[in-house]
Amino acid sequence: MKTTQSIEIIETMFKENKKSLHRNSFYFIMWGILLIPTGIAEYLLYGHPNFWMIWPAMGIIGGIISFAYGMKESKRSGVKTSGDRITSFTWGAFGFTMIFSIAYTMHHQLPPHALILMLAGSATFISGGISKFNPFILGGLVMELGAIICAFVVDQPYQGLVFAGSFLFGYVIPGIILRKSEHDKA
Amino acid sequence: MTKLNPILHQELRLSIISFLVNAEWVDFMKLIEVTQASKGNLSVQISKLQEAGYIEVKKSFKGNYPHTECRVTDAGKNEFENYLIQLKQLLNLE
Repeated sequence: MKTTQSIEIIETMFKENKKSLHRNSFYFIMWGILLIPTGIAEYLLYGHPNFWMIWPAMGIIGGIISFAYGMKESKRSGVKTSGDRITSFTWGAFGFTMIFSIAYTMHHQLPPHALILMLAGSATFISGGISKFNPFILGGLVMELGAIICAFVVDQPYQGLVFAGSFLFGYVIPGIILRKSEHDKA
Repeated sequence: MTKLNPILHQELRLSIISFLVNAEWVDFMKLIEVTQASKGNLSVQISKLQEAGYIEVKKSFKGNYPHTECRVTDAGKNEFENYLIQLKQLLNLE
């Protein structure tokens, strides 16, 4: 085998490996589609005695869909990179802290928007950095900005709208851009 | 004259180690997909890399089906790095 052929083989395999990097658009689009109407509904239904119930309802629906999709994907994939491991630990920590944060805000009767946006923004920002995907890095920053607005600028009825807008720019738009790039690669 | 490591300097074995070096565990079917080798040939070359201590092989069951996964060892990573250095030296000489 010639040395130039060796270089070609190594390059091809590095490219194949890069293709296997899991930058899964599904979760971002699905959670965005669930949470944007939830934020808007919260704004519209604000003052209704049970308006808060849409949040746990959407959380449970999203959790079930994510779990089912994750199970299906784990059977299909075939490659685990260190990036995948860091990403799964990041989102695992996010999920755990999210449940705790929601319980904490409910217990103290505080609006959860700022905390959820801060956590989701951090995890999105890290995922973007690991997968070198700039729309997620920017999306994560938009969500952090949304968290600051919810925490210090607007009152509760409008926090649902800020929340919805942050998920549109932080999850759905980067998710659609990623989906398009996944299709282009396939 | 620099002599390339004969274990790595073979088309399929080099493909396997080049793919594994950037991953953690990779399953056998994925290696077939990326290398486009036959099952038999891939098994033989994986065994050679395993005997040399360059890769680790884990066999288990997924449902009712056997499931084989591979990953590169530290020795394999070092040898691959040495291979790249030697390759660079040879290309400078050419």
